[in-house]
Amino acid sequence: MGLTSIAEVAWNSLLLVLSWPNILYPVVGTLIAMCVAVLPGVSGATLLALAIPITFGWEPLPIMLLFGALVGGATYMGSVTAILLNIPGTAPNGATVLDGYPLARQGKALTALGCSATASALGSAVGVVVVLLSIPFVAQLILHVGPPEMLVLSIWGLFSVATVIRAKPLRGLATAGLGLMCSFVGLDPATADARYTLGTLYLQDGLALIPVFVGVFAVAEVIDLMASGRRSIADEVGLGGSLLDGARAVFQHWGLFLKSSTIGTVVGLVPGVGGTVAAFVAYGEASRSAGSEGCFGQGDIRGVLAPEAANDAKDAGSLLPALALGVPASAGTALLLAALQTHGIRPGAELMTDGLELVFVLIWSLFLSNLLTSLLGLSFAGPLARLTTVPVRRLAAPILVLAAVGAFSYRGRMGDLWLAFGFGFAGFLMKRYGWPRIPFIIALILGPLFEVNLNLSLSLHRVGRIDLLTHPSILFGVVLLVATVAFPAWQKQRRRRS
Amino acid sequence: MLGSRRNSACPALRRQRISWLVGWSPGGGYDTYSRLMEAPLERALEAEVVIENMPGAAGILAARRLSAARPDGRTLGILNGVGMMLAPYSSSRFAPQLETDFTVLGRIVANDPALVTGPELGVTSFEEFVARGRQQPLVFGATGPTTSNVLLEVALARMAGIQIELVLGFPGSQELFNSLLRGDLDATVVSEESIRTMAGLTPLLRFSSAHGSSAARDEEIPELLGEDGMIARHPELFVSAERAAADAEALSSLLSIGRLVAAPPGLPAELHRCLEAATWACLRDEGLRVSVARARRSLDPAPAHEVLAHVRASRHAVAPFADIVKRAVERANR
Repeated sequence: MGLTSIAEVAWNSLLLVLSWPNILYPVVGTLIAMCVAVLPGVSGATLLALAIPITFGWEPLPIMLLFGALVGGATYMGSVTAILLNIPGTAPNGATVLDGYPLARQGKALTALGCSATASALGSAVGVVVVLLSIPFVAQLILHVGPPEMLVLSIWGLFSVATVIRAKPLRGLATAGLGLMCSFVGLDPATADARYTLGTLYLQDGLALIPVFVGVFAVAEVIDLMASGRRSIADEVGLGGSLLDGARAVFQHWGLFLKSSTIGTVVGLVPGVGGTVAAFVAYGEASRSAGSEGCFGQGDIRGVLAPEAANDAKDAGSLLPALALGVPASAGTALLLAALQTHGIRPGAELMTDGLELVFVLIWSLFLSNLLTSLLGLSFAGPLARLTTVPVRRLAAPILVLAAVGAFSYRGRMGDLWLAFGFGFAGFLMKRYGWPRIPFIIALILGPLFEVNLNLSLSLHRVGRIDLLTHPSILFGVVLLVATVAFPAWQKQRRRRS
Repeated sequence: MLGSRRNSACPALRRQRISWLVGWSPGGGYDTYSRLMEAPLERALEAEVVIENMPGAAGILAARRLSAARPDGRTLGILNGVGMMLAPYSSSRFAPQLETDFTVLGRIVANDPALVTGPELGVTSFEEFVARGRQQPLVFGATGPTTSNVLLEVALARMAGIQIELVLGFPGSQELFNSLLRGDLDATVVSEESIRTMAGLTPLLRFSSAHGSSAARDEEIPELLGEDGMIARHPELFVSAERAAADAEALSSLLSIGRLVAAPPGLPAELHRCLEAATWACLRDEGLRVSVARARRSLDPAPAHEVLAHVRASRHAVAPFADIVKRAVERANR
């Protein structure tokens, strides 16, 4: 199918989505998702799971419309709690926390919220455009991504740790190592041997990301706020900044925006790699490219822009492997597949040709939902930002309750609650004694991706199916890594000379 | 749904919340069957059924939780019967035993896995596959060391006298398929239903269960067993046709255990009886049959006593393979 035919189908699908009463599904779905997703831990995937039995008797069109809206609507609200309360609503929002919350502490919550909403909406649009252009060769593209390519991606992501620990390199490396170790907790993916499980069944499944995030950021922050005697989150500075400043930042850093959106879409296309990796890789790349001019981790607006653009851009991309190959890229797309399969819609070449209209209905619904959440988010940002001026003594208990709900509702296990509070205390100690938390989180997220693909790449090398020393992706990866490290050093040297 | 006019099969569970544990991620076969069964089970029990995905350790985590839950009927789940039979041979000391640690309530469908190859290998029949495998080692992929696909791959290699190399640790069957299409792997064994989701793969042989589901079978895939099966028609493809037939019978019996509905052990007799009846009613529900067919999946229900007979018959079927599986896995992880 040529690009012109695809564009025609895309246009017809857009008209179909905007027609009455079809438009009701994305609008109502988005509103429901936004309301429910304020609770940390409630993601688009949770909403899809709840919606599947309700939609059993529905036709495919409204199902696509509703499901696109539920996935898109839940994303932005996770960023709101991340910026204002240091509670990442979903795992990808963990990257937004890193600079979003420091901005809120500086009284720039409105700026961060404005930037987040604008980057989300525009990032989603970039994702749709990239997806539209890549449909003719998406199956080939996805098939070329194997364990060596994923290994390179994970190592590249891990290298970003080096860029966020400039101030305290040894401590940064130590916490990154600790993050990697924590990511290995659970069963070995190749041998099924239990590692670091302390003889418990609970730890066999590894450390759940959401409870760890909630602990390291939200719980640790509440303890720190109470221990430090601050009156409110934005205590010293009051509420400043503006939504317009935030929106303007996206256009000021348009190069970074495009780069982050592209990273998001490409990572979204890679099967099995979700928004969390997309957001953190984009954050790492933004931090690396800013070099010594950046103040990442301390409230750099680019640290909000990059993960937000990548996280929303990946949504459209992640639909393609699910719909073209039946390979879910995230929990959300996995549930979407489950829903489609219960309705007899099978992913594959047939869906990507004869059923392309349905695919675009889903993509447009997702895009509309992202747009709507951003617009609504902007309109509610003012009152929401006032949360940062509420006295800590009134805010601490609700934040802890919200954090507990987020940690528990993720999988419904009591162990996750203890995990969140355990990591909360550890996070507080790390913050108090100046041990950086960001390398720990990045390594924790990328560890499993690195381990699984290292193991598979080595196994395929052992049986002679790939040669790690001459494999084009590995060679490209080495060049990329050398450039990633050498280019900033070369720039620094040049600046010094001049 | 709760306001159904029908009487609840289990009055004790009427209007209760029942957790349905699934040991795999959303989107896969076990999750799909669970979601398809949700509504008919709610109708049969007049209760609310809530599906909880609890992936990890090839389903063992959820199985452990199910096994340890209170026997009050408010925790049910779906189990991979073959996986549970293999689990005791794994390195995991947490693996529960199917016969003693659960109350089996019925079977949803029996496993009918098939051997598939990718386009890079360039073989179109099992005969060519065996010939190739006797010349050079073939690379097989699997998700984990204690899964039924590893057992079937290793058993097939022994039967046909082919050399294999295992690559373990793929996150899921779709990643295995992608590796086959890229030519990283030569072959794998997956459920026949999974194969239908992916174009470009060549199914060569089906390991039918003794009482496998016939509704959705692709009749063009040759069977291993039976009068027209590969062993009967082409004994020369096997090291010893007699031994291969015995091995295939054992595997067939094992595969008949299939995907099970289970509850914790120690259910009170009355609750056990009514849950078994409700499960059976749900599995024979016309609405379930229609929705399973619409989802292009198979349904092959069996009552609990029949499943338990398969379990008892298969108890000794796994042991002879345990050693060769262990050795193959150790070699793969060297």
